[in-house]
Amino acid sequence: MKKALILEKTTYTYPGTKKKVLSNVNATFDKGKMYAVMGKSGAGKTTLLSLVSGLDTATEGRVLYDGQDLSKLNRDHYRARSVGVIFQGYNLLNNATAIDNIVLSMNISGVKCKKKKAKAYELLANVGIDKETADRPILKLSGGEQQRVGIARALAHNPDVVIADEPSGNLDAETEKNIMQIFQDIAHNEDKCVIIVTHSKNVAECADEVWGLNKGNLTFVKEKYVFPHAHELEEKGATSKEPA
Amino acid sequence: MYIITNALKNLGRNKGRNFLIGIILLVIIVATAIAIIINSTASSIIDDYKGRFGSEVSLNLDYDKAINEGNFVDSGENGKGVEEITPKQYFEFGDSKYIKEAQYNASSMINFKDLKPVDDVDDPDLMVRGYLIGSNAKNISDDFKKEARKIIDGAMYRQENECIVSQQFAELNKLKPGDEIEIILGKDRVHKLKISGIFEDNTMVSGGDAAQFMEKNPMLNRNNEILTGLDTIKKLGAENVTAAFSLKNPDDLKAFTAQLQKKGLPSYYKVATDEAGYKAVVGPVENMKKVTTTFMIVVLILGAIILLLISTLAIRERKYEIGVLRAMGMKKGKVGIGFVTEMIALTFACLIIGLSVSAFASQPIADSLLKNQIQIAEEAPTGNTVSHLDFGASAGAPASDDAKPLSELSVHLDFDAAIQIILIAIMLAIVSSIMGIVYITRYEPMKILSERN
Ligand SMILES: Nc1ncnc2c1ncn2[C@@H]1O[C@H](COP(=O)(O)OP(=O)(O)O)[C@@H](O)[C@H]1O
Ligand SMILES: [Mg+2]
Repeated sequence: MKKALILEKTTYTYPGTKKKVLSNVNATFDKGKMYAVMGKSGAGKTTLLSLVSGLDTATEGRVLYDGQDLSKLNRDHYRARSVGVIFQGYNLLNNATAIDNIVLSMNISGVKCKKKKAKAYELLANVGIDKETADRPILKLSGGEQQRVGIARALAHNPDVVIADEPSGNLDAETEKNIMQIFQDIAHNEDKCVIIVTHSKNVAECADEVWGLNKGNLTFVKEKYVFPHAHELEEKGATSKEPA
Repeated sequence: MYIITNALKNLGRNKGRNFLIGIILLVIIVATAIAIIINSTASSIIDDYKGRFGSEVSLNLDYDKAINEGNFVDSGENGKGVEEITPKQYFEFGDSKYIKEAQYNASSMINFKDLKPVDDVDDPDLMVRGYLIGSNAKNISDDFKKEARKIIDGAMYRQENECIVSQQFAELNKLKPGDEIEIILGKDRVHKLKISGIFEDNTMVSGGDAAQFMEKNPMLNRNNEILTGLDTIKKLGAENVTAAFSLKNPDDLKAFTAQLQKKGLPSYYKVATDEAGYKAVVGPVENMKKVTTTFMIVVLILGAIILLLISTLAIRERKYEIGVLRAMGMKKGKVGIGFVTEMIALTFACLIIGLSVSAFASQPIADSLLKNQIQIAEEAPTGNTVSHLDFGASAGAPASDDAKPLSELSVHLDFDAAIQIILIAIMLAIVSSIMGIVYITRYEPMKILSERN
């Protein structure tokens, strides 16, 4: 199995604070696998994702992509080409249409494709967004629809690493299932590395590996999470319940 | 390329904000464009007049200085009289490398042999009955230009020893073009001149009433002026000369003055350009320029502040946009180019509308501004008008005599002004996008994630 991302003694502290949000994290994420990362709110899940997605760099230690230190790579390029991120808050251009969001992302990533717009409609259709909805500005879409646009955007440039921060939060069971199928498909059939932060048992069940994040420590929980193993999760700090 | 497309689409996506910015840009552009259009027209007029007034030199007796240096205007018992500039000196003065043009008006008193002057008196002792006037100056032909004098028969003198005479004089003596007349210069120097043309004189008409009460005197009747070229009178000897010099370059005034003094011009003659005349004509235009410039600067500063304020208020939106684009992997520079493109496109639209509005509006605005300034100038005490002290021969630029302020300014948009307006518009576009650019450089995309959580 080819290694996509390696975290080596990765530590992160937000500027101006003392608390180590991540401390001495060691982990390896392979291509061809789908990972679930679980943890309480405030455990540092989003922080972890921001490091592996090249939005920020580790305070100590390293994050390696394809064997190269991310802090030394051109991270704009890394974000544009190698990684697709589905943000917790979607982070779409709110006044632009769904289709424009996707096409813009493809342009930024330098996607070489003659019919970008047609491809974008297709990507949106895959996540259940029809053409009429795709032509509406993001602000005129429901939360679930926005989330799906976010997913389509993350996949639009065919990245090696797909990172999702609680992607199913706003999805109904049916859509969630479809989306997970897509994630599994690109992991297993297209040899991508998919990392999903989630609270959902269903999502965790789809993953090949489950990791728990607790007090800055990332630990391997289980190969193929199968419900119910709640006690096991509790022990490792991963939980399926997010306290309000 | 997609950056441009996206920037243009962004204009439509944020209609509210861009409409507001657009309105403000439009106001600023119209105001500055009008100011610049008026200013550039005013500038070219000012330059033109500066060249003209700055180059016309006058020689004036500085009365105070003359007395201080021990000269008396009336040559008294124990003082020397003020030296007058002789005709010969005037001709020498004009022969200078600094001079572009020297206009002379020379005259000599004459008597006629076998001819009768108009308004003649029966006085055998009277030695002079008319003037021979020779000129290369504009204001002689001005009489002709203004049609106060008009050639009605024959042609203007061209060659040496040709002259033109008045209609009344010609009729009185039964003269026609081609005839020769004999004039007496001084005591008994007789000289022959050939009549090339006959002019009608209307310069006397206005003074007609007053003339009735005056004693008849052929010397006072302009119909007894025999007009000839400068060369002719130079050869015959001019008694009285006035000269107007214009310099090739107004900056040569000092050098020219030094040269004149070397040639014998007494130090109590002031060599000056016609500043007062210049002020009288161009003053209102200059003041108008000051008003429009001040106005433009105020509008630009206020406008820039308002634009900065709006973009500060809209920065939340902008910050988010920066975060999203950067998170997608767009480089800082490209985000910046996108924002600037957006503002330049908006500014360009405002520029087109603004230029057409100002093209129509600047003429009436210029008119009313200039009218205002002329009024102000007229109400102001006229302490700065020069009074020429004429002692015998004098030279002076004729301009200040009839120096009326410029009352019309036909404004137009020239190339330079258009470039200036476009540059200012680009500056405005940059000002409107500067806040965004500041954030692009200081803002890490990570912040969005944490702020959104
Ligand atoms: N920009 C920030 N500055 C300082 N502390 C932050 C910032 N963002 C998050 N944190 C803190 O870091 C910890 C982890 O946050 P986060 O990664 O968002 O948690 P999770 O996504 O697991 O809920 C929290 O304690 C949070 O308060
Ligand atoms: Mg989070």
